[in-house]
Amino acid sequence: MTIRITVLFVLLTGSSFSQTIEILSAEDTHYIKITPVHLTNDFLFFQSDELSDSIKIEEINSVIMIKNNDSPITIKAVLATGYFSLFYYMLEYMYKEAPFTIPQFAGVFSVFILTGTGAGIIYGKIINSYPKEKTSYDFSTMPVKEKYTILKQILTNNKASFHKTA
Amino acid sequence: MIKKLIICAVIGLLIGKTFAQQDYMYTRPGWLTFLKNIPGDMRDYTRNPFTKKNLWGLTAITVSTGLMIYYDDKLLDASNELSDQLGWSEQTNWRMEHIGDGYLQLYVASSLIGYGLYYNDNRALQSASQIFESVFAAGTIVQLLKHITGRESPFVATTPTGRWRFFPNQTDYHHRVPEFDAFPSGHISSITAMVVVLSENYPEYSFIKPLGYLAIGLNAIGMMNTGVHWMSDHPIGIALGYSFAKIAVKKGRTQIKTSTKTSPSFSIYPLFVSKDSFGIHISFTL
Repeated sequence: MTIRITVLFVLLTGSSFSQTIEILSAEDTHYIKITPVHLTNDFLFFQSDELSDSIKIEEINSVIMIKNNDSPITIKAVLATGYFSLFYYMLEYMYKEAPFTIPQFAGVFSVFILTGTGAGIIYGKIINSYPKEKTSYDFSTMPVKEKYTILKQILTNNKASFHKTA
Repeated sequence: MIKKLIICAVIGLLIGKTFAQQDYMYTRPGWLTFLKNIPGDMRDYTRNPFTKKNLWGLTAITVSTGLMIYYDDKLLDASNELSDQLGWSEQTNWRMEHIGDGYLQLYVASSLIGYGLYYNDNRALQSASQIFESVFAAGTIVQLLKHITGRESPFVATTPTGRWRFFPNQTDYHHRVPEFDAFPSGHISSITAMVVVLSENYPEYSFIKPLGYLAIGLNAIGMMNTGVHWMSDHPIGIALGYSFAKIAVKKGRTQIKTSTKTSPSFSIYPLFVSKDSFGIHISFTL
């Protein structure tokens, strides 16, 4: 039993950090949230609001990385236990009430879908309630080559640790 | 001592925090994208196994299935003994069996849809779509094979390793399903498909693979202990789930490239210049 609990605990301790990237161009006044697609020596191609776009690297004035902090292990453990307990409660209740007619089956499926959807939204609300860590990279005075190197680092492993302004 | 070493190894593998940026771009799938993709998935699947690259995998599945069919009764006894030794109740085995019956997949995919729609997260929506796509595509092939092979399930077996009635009468099949539907396992293919989709799309969550593989293993043992499947029903089920999940994932995302172009190429992209103007970028590299 001890081993089972330890393994479950270890499995739940694996953590991760999702991140979003925003850029500010030289001729603009507001940051745009982007999903990078392709980086060349001169251009960064990206997706923003479902549209494909691109920007010259020399025109990028600043890049902001927003990292969502991970929730504590205890919260994760409670959420995971609750999530799967709810699933098995519904499943066992369903099999007790079986067999079903086809319309009743539609109802059963709807219960699983709606509960799952609600669980996804609640999970997102809890996870997104933790403070976000913001890192800005000031590109305004940098040569293009250096901007490219930092962008490449951000896109490949996100460990760019220099030229931070905040 | 060995148990402690295993625990330490698992801790070492899993406790490290991962800083991962998405290496893939995800577009929002349509509500019926998963259904529209299935015919193409079938086409890709029939091409893939017979390539040189996958020859070893195909051979391994064939040989392992053959060996398992030969020893199926002994493997079933071993699984029941394991259940007794670990003190698993009938209810525990029932729960393990239902890891792969589709309800869990529906529940998890719905959660991804809820999260994805509420937070505008295309990766979550794509993952849900890919789970449905791979489960349905693999399920179609599984059903086809079941209706062709007609193998008895362990709990109704009339021979030690279950009788096979190839190309059974389909009316008999639907009147006495357990007498014909053991091979291959659809449960194992659906849980495998879900685990592969999630582990491919969320590589930064290091627990998905070990937890997912554990779930696949428990599902396999649970189905043997409840008498619905033989051990040899699993390899092809796993292969189908894995292959269709890989195909669905490949279709559902685009890799972000970060290379300097050295090979000849031609590209046209919209060019973002400032807030009020845009243009077209045409690039031709020799």
